[in-house]
Amino acid sequence: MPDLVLLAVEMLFGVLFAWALWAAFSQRSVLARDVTLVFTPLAALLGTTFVTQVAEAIGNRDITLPLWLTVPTILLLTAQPVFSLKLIADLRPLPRWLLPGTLGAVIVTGALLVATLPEPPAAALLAVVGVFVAGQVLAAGYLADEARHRSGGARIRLLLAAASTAAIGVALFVLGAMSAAGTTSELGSALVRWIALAAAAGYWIAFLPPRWLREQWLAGAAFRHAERLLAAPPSATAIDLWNDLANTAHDLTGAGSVVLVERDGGLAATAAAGIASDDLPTYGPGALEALIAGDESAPSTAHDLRARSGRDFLIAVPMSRDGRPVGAVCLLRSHASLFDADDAALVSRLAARSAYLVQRREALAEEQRLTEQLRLTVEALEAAGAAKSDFLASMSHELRTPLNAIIGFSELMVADDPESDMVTVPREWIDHIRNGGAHLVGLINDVLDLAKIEAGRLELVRVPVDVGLAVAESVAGLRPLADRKKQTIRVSAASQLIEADPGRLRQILYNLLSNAIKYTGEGGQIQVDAARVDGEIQIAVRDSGVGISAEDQLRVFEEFRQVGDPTARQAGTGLGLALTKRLLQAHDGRIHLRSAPGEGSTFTAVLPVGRPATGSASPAQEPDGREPDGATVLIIEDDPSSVRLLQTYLADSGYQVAVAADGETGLRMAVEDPPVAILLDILLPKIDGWEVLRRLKSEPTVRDVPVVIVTVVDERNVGLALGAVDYFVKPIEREALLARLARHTFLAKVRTRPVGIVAIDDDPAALDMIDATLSPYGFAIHRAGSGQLGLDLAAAVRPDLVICDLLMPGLDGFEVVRRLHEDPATSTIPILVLTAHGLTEAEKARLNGQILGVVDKGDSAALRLREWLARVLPDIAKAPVE
Amino acid sequence: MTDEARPLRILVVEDEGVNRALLRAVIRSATRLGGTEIDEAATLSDARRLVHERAPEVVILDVRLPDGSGLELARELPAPGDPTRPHVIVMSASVLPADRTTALEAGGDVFLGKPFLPRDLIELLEGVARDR
Repeated sequence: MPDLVLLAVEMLFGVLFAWALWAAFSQRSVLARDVTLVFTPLAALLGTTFVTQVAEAIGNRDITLPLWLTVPTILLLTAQPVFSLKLIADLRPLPRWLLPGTLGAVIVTGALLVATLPEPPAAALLAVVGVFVAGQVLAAGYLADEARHRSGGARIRLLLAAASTAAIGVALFVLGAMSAAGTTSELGSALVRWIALAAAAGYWIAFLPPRWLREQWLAGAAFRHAERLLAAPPSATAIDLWNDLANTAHDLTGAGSVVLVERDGGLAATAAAGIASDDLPTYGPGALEALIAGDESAPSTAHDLRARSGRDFLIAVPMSRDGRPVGAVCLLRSHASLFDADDAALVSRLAARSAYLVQRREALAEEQRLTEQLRLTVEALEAAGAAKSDFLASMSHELRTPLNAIIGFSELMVADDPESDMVTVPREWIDHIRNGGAHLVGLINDVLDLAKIEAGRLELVRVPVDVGLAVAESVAGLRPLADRKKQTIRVSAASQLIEADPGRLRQILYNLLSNAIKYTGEGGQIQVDAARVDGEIQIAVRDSGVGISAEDQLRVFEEFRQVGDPTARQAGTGLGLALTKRLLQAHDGRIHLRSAPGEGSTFTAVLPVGRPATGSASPAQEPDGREPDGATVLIIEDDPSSVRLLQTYLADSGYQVAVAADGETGLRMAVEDPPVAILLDILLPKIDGWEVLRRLKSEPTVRDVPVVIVTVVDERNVGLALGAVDYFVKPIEREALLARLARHTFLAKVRTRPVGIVAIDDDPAALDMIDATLSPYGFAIHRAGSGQLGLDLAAAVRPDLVICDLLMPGLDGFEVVRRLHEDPATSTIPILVLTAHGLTEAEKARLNGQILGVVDKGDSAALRLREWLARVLPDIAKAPVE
Repeated sequence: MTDEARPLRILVVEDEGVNRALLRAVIRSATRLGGTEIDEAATLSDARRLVHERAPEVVILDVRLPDGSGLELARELPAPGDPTRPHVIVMSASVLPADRTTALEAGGDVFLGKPFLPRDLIELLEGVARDR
């Protein structure tokens, strides 16, 4: 009966091995073929035994198989150690001589055996068995050694393979020993058959394990990994988790290097084991797909990874998220592996776990971040609420303090004699009331400004402003205060144009300066420096006052904070510095404070220079920097060569030119699109120039357009009488025409839009006078405190008029006029000279043809300026626009 | 010299010069008070010194003082019932209900918010003068 069972099992293995043989060869891989070769001798042995047994059962007698069948089987069996070592050579390095040596020994002993068949001598048998057993033991040893470096399923499989290899050696040793002894015992051959069967089973499990067993090994390893992952500290980052995965894959698969690549734009190595991940490059788009598909077309990621790791074998295990590949775990080995499929399945499972955990961590981190954000938001809201209450309480307090004086003293005045219409009260009381009122107004203005800034409704009108001048004006305005405290104020502020809101800049300077005066004692020193540093303007106000302690330095910019020695508290709204800071911020500037108690304070306002720094055309204007669109001059002239000449002159000066070849067309064009000036010829086809002029002057829409007659007919008085503003007899002098035209178009422009004026004077009082005189008429006055600044300002803002003083330090007025005239950008701007200096004939000659007029500065300069204005602009000078 | 003839000793504790001037003018305008002696302190430390030196009968006390809160002084004064305790009029521009409560709890007899009406202060002073 046991024979029958044995027989059935042998048959089963025979079938399995035959199937395995076929399957292995169909894979066409060297490794699979070598595995199959290990199976072959066993399959042959079991096959022949099976055939013998069946034949004996049928014939009911002992059968000796024919030699042609037994000899190949025996030879195949003796070659088993060679096959085993060949497989191991695929998996790990072996001494070079080992495989050929074993092969040689097997061939020699096999030949000896075959030659002495059918009755080989015991010595031959012993030699064959000796070589076989030695080979098998070596192979088993190498397999066991390889198992030491692996874990999990791979180790079990390698140990099984080692045991099976050793078992086959033992079986043959028993067989050889029996043959040599010449005894054949039933027990011995049964033992051999059982050992062979066990070895076959061992090989089978090692090399072709059933699915459920693989699953078992995988699950075990994956579970241990998951446990480790879950035990990872909460502080572990995604990178930590991926590194853990790489290390686990490294340990479990025995791969020499493991690289985890993730798609992140390109394909980058996020973790690695057995290789430094820092040195790995980021691969281009599409690298992941090629890697997973095993696409080796150069330059491939796989190729690069193999080269960098120095290992020849790579398997890429894809990682995916939401069904899309997002990365891969690359296992790199120096030698082929028996268990690639299992390794890939295991790593894939581990990667999925890690990915899940990473995602969970990310979600948790995001949740934590949101919670933190929410907490901060709530805190900020609470702080804002508290700040608002504080502000209101402070505001109430600050309003009540001046009101106390106003109400108290006025009540006292009334109480002094309730019956009388006239009361006599101490002068001091009135001063207190007035000061209280002024204080309240200042406070309310500051609060309104702050509120505007808070609401984002502060509108800055940024125009080119001279910082040097603004500083000088602020100092001049506050000097009486400083004089009262016998303080000296020194100013070092060069003329420098910046783009800022002039009113706000003054407010900033006033606040800083008045603070300096307030917090500096009698006889103290105040120094104001304005300079350009790294493309910014720094205005530093340094005082020799009480100074501010470090802890107070941040708080000085808070609303309603007066810091420092409270006994030295000064009158003030407590809003000045808060407002100053905000105003600077609104200008994209900032404020610094450097101070120490007892050593004074330096407040430094930093402002960006803005656009005027370029000193050239303002961007609002045409790229060629001349007259903006719409400054069209209409030429009514039938002679093409005259037209061409005039066109060239005008276009060079930046005018747009429209041309009409006859009077009718000219009239129509003038009415349809009124030009800034008309150049009119007299001798025209159809209607002549006189008639055109008459009709222009009777047409309300174009009546005010200045007409300049340009003709060969010398009838100057007729022309002017008919309403022409100027009369040129051909040939025309270019400069004269342009200068006159500039003047006339200027006057025309004044009637239609606000006109910009650059006023150049080193005396702020004179600038104030010009400003005060001309601003009410709607002129926009740009103030320049020096000749150079005036030139810069004129080039930057392209004003319609320049008013210039003659006597100035540095560039004097003559030079300014000359340069304005020479610079093509400013040559057409009319210039009015305002001077206290009686002009000599030589000087008049210098200015001749370059200026619009001269106004005497003297005592009644404002009056004279108004008179001049009335003369050149009779309509406008009558009606100030407030 | 009778009590009636003796001038009422008033200590004005107030850091703002304008307010001191106002209080001075208001007190002087109160002719029915008879004579008054006004001492002025701009700081808490001065006020403490003057309380000891001058034993005022009325202390007009500002709260926000440069070197502390006027209420500190109110807490340091002799307990109510003590004949040497002056009458304390707390004056402040901080007029929230909480400010009033704090002032009265600290030992103020009256809270007068700024801006105050002179006649309110005068009536208070006249009451003190009458009751002594």
